[in-house]
Amino acid sequence: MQAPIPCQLDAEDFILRFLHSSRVNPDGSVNSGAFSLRADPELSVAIEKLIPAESMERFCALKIGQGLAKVRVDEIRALGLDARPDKEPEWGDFADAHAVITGHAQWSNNRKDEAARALRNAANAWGVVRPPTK
Amino acid sequence: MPDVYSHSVFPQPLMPHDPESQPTGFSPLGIGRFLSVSSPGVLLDAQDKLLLHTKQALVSGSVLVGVARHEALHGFFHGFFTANVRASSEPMQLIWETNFVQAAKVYVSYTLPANDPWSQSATDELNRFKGLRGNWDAEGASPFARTTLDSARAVLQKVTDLCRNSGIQTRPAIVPLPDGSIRFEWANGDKELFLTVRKKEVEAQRWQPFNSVRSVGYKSIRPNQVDSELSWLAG
Repeated sequence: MQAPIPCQLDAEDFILRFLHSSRVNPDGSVNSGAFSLRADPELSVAIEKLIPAESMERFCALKIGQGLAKVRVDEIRALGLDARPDKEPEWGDFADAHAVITGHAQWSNNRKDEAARALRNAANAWGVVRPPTK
Repeated sequence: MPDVYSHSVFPQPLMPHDPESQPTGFSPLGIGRFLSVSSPGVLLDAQDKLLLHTKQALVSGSVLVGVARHEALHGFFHGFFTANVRASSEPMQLIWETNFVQAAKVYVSYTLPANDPWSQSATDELNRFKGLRGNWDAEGASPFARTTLDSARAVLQKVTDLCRNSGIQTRPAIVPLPDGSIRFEWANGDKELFLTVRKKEVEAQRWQPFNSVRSVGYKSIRPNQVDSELSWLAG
């Protein structure tokens, strides 16, 4: 049996980022904490095109109460970062939809925060996909 | 005008040189947790601030020692301290003990701020962070160290002062970050300022114009040094 062909991420694809309630300001906009690159060398995200619209409720149940923001892959790459598929078994049916943003492990805090801010701006330009519920 | 109280601080014995454990105390009228982070002899013409029952009070002091000694030690007389004391309408008697100060006259002015809903909600928000345990974001985020929360409160006080004393209309977002730091994220017109607090340090980043990606300034400072950053944002 042939191994499945890994998903390719094109420049126009969207990735989704879970939003803890602290990542959304009182006015409904996303803050830079949503894309903070300080803690880990990989930022967990999801590939939108691999999550059917009818499965979105089930997908959101992976992190109960959290919302969703989205940015486009070319917006990530323009910052010198990359997004690549990264299967996550803990995501069950959505394991193949998991991806990570990488490329910042050696960056200074200044550059990490510049990128987090730029991704915040991109997410706000697209609008919050789904606000957190708690 | 704030109410102003003037008190003499009694001569104190000289203490061993130990800035970390500089003894400082209040009379029973205003006793409370007092954390001094100042260097010995910080009182000369200082304009220091403390928290009075979470409200701002302004403390200024003059060291009553010889002029020559003043001048000689001038470089030492800068610093700040924070404190939480019981609110009281009674005058407080403040006592400092340092290597240098043998007598001081201290003026305490109580400036009770006008009701500021944002300031109160921001204080509540920081207090809420104290209760967050590891993995609070379900992605392995770190909890917040007490020193980080103390520094964030000091920055919040500066932010509140700026809001009160300037015409700035926006307010910062207070953002908990997964590495245990706390960010004040504040846009004003075509400018944006990040003050990211971790332990006793604040990383300050500026952006202008707003839609730029690269910051136009980045530096690591202490919580009591954020005034110039805030002035830049408000200017």
